[in-house]
Amino acid sequence: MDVHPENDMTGLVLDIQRYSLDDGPGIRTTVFLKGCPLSCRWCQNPESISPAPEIGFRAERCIGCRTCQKACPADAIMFDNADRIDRGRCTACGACAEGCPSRAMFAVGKRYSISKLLEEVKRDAAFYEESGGGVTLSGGEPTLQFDFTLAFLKACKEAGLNTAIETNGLAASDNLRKLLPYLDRIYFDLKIINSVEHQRLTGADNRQILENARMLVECRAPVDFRLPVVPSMTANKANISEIGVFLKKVGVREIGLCPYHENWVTKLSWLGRRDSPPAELQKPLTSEELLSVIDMFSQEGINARSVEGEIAAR
Amino acid sequence: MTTTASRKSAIDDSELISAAVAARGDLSPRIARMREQVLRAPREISLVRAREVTKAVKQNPDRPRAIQLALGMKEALRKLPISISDDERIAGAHGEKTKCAVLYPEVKSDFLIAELQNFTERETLRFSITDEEKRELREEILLFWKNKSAFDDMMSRQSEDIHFLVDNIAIVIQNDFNGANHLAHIDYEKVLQKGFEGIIDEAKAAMARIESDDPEREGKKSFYTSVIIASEGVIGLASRYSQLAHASASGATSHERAQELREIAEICERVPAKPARTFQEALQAVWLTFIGIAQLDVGQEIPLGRVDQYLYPYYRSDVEEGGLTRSEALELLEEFYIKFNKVTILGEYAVTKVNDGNTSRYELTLGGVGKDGKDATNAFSYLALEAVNNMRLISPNVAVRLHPDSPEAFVNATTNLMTNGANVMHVFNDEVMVKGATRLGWPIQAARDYVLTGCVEPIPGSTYGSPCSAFINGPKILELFLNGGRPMISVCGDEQDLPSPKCSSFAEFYGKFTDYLRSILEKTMDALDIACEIQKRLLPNPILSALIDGTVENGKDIKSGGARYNLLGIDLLGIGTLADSLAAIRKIVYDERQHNLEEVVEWLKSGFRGYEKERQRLLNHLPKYGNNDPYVDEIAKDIVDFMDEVLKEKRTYRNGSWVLGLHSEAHHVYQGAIVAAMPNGRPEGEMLSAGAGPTPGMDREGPTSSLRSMATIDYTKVYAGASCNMRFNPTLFSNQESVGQFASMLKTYFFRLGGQHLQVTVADTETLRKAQQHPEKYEDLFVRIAGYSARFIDLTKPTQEEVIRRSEMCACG
Ligand code: SF4
Ligand code: SF4
Repeated sequence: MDVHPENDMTGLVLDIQRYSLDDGPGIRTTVFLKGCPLSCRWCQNPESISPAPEIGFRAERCIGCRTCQKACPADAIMFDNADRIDRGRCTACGACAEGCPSRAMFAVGKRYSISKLLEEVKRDAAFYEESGGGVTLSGGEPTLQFDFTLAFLKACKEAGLNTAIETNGLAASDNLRKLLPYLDRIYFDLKIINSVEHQRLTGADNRQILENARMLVECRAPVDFRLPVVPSMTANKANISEIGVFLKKVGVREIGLCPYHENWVTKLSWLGRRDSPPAELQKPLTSEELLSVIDMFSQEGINARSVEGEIAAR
Repeated sequence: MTTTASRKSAIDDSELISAAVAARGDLSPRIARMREQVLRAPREISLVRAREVTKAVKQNPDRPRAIQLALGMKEALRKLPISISDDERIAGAHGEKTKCAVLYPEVKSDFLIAELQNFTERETLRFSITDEEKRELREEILLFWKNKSAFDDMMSRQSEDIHFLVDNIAIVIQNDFNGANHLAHIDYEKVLQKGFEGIIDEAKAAMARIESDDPEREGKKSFYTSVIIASEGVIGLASRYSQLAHASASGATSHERAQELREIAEICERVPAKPARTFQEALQAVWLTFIGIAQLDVGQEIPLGRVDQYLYPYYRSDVEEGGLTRSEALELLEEFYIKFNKVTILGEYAVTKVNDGNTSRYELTLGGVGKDGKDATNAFSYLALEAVNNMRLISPNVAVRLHPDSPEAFVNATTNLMTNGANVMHVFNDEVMVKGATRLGWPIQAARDYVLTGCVEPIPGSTYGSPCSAFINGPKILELFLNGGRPMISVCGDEQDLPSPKCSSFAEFYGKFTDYLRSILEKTMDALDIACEIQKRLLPNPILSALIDGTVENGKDIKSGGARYNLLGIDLLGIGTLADSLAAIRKIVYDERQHNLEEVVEWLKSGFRGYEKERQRLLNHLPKYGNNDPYVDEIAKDIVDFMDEVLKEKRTYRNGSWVLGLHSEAHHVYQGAIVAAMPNGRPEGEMLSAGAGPTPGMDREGPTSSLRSMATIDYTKVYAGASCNMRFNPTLFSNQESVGQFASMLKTYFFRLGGQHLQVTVADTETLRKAQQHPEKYEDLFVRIAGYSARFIDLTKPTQEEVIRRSEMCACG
């Protein structure tokens, strides 16, 4: 279909991931939208949290040509700085990234119009058709760019694509309802039930999230709940049993588990962040930990399985 | 692809032994023992064949070469020391040592002379040879062939231009002289249905029918005679095994073994002289026929054809009526597979490197449509796959043909095997292959009956090749073109005078480049005409001719054009590198006019020394084949279309079709070493893109984009085979769903996008380790992590270690 130019708003896209296997049925393309209302301590995509464009710098790729410095209108490139970019001055205009020959400087977040993004995802249409796959919107939190998300999902549906969304659930209920007609599947993150803990570890209250979870089940939306399995933070006996109780109360008996990976830690330095996460977040989740979570869920009568496939015994 | 470089590199001896450990646990003890034995056996040399052929040539100086060779072969099979091991139920070996190579000095002797001292010491693929064997080889065999082998003769007749191109590795002439020898559509069914006695009768009858005034009378007579002698040679070998089995029965260790030996005696008395009646007879007949063929060719790539078609009737009737159980049949088939691992090839060292650890490839073809166009998959196709999974050996190489109506279960069995880490097989698209052959004029039945012949080269029914007769090094041609005909690095040979490549538009530039490419192609075709003439004169092949349709009717050896249909393939090497480089020139010189051509040439000549910034920009900011960017994909497509047009203008020496191939084995590594820096940012000496694939590491958007780029090429125009090898980490196949997604990807690539071939290398630990050391070369290595496929090189060290640990687990699964 043609997107009407007046409706062709733009959204800030972090990344487009093709041949995604765990974000819904079949072969999928996952579009990550930038910006998130939560800031989970374990967030594996720290570059997705800010709703504004950013600039990343990978020191190991830099060949020292200083093209970036010449290109920068804000005089924000500091060769004697450990981070190279003076984040206070940088306006994220992207000139350095454009000029950097080795892609050491790179833009984090790129604007796409609905039509351009649709064109991008439609390139794999043959694969979706054969496999029963489609497009998954993820983030950040896609509902944060609500108008764009709604328009894009509509456009996907009009193009006959299967659609899914990955949401943390922190959105106005009305907004979520508006998306429902254009969604074939919703992957809804349940992180922590205890509201104090939730506030402490994600920076936001969870009342709205839990209410949305209940609402989606009640209106029989095609929702699958998922838990990011983070050592000690979410993967503790108390939280899991509370999640179990919550799920049973709303009448759900299944949950998908997303094992924690510590891969993101390097990304902090790309963004010039010097903070380092607590020790328990610096190593990947082990199979034993994952298996024990599965076990705890089964004691609650909940069938939990890893979205990444079978777990090799180690 | 190779059936490909990375796949083959996993077959060094040590790896074979570890593969042995990884194989299925419930092999029968005899199979496990035989498998273990062949895995551990050192490589040796059998001189019998070279000795007897040399003698026959010396002793019959006045007889035609076909007769000399047939006599030599027959004598070799008469003198070859033979044995039957305690575990064997199928008798026969092509040499007297467990794992050995026979030598073909009449084909190419120079490297044997030069490298004889080194066989035991070279870096890879060492061969043991005793001092006495060395002496005999040097004094009695090689001395005779010095400067007299067919290859020497062929090269001495080539033009200076060809020598220049060959010396600079802008082209490589193979044509059954060196390296790959992808053969023909061998009619094993004929052996099973008529037996060699039937073949002899047929030859005799044809000889009797030669008209007295036939101008080709003498040639025909000696052709038929050579077929008869060669056939007698194979029958003679079988009866020796029969006698040996019979004699051994009385001293057998057990009553059961005595009974088995008596069975072997009976079977070898009957086949391959007479038609086969049982499954075991059929396997025995094919194996002895193979041994016969291996005596008279370079023997490197003798295709086994559609085993699930010609063996199925015997299997079915034995199972239905003869009391054969499926597991007995499986065991026999496993033994049959093991045997091919005893056959090895002593190659020229340079060529050995190209083959990257795997010198011989005996390929069997499974599945696909029958001559009637309907699905021909049968119960034996599944049995054959099961045996492959159980054996996990380098031979036979397994090609599976798929079409839109292939049974779901067969597709699943195939994709399971492709993704389980065995890395032993590859798949082909019937739709594209059949169209490719009919487009060239093959009748539909022959087109549907194609087999794979070693790597990725198809051969239709009733056809003689070789589909892999020369390589044209695309990037080297660009280097020469940009530099007025002179190599930019390692100059050897004379300069050619080419006009300056300076042009006012890309269209003009591209036109001049393709003119040059045309001239190279035409010279290569001329060179191959000379090669074919030498083949005809010095290397007739009576045993193979006996088994290729058309020869008996025509009264001509295959090398004289006796086969019903003929083709010769020329491969373009490095299409990804070439397309990326042309796209870069187009963009920066003509579209954006940032630089002029002289500047670009200057960067290349300097190997980018002092131009790292420019190189990085070329690498990172320009369109690259493999990302579904039409700007560059269209160039790859155009080059294929162009070469197809040029090839269509001529017929081969044997009046066959010229066909284009896009595969590289490991040539992209070895030939890349002498190619200057390229405008795509590739430094001097680095490997080129492999097969039909993108430049390694440049397909940044994942497998679907890479496949869409490759599918831009019209593969019906690439009938000499295009290899598409993808690297995956085992984590991407961690559950049945993801294997299913892979199957969907494969089907999309084949039946919606028109892909021809796909092979998956499940990247092993070694690859992952290399990726840690050289991340820049592994940008395309995807692993499954955090719910999606991630690039391995983007992971942190501990996660990489974690993935390595995981992949080690899965790879053996
Ligand atoms: S993004 Fe713009 S302002 Fe920021 S460092 Fe780069 S060039 Fe300077
Ligand atoms: S432009 Fe890129 S490579 Fe050059 S100095 Fe800046 S960051 Fe480094």
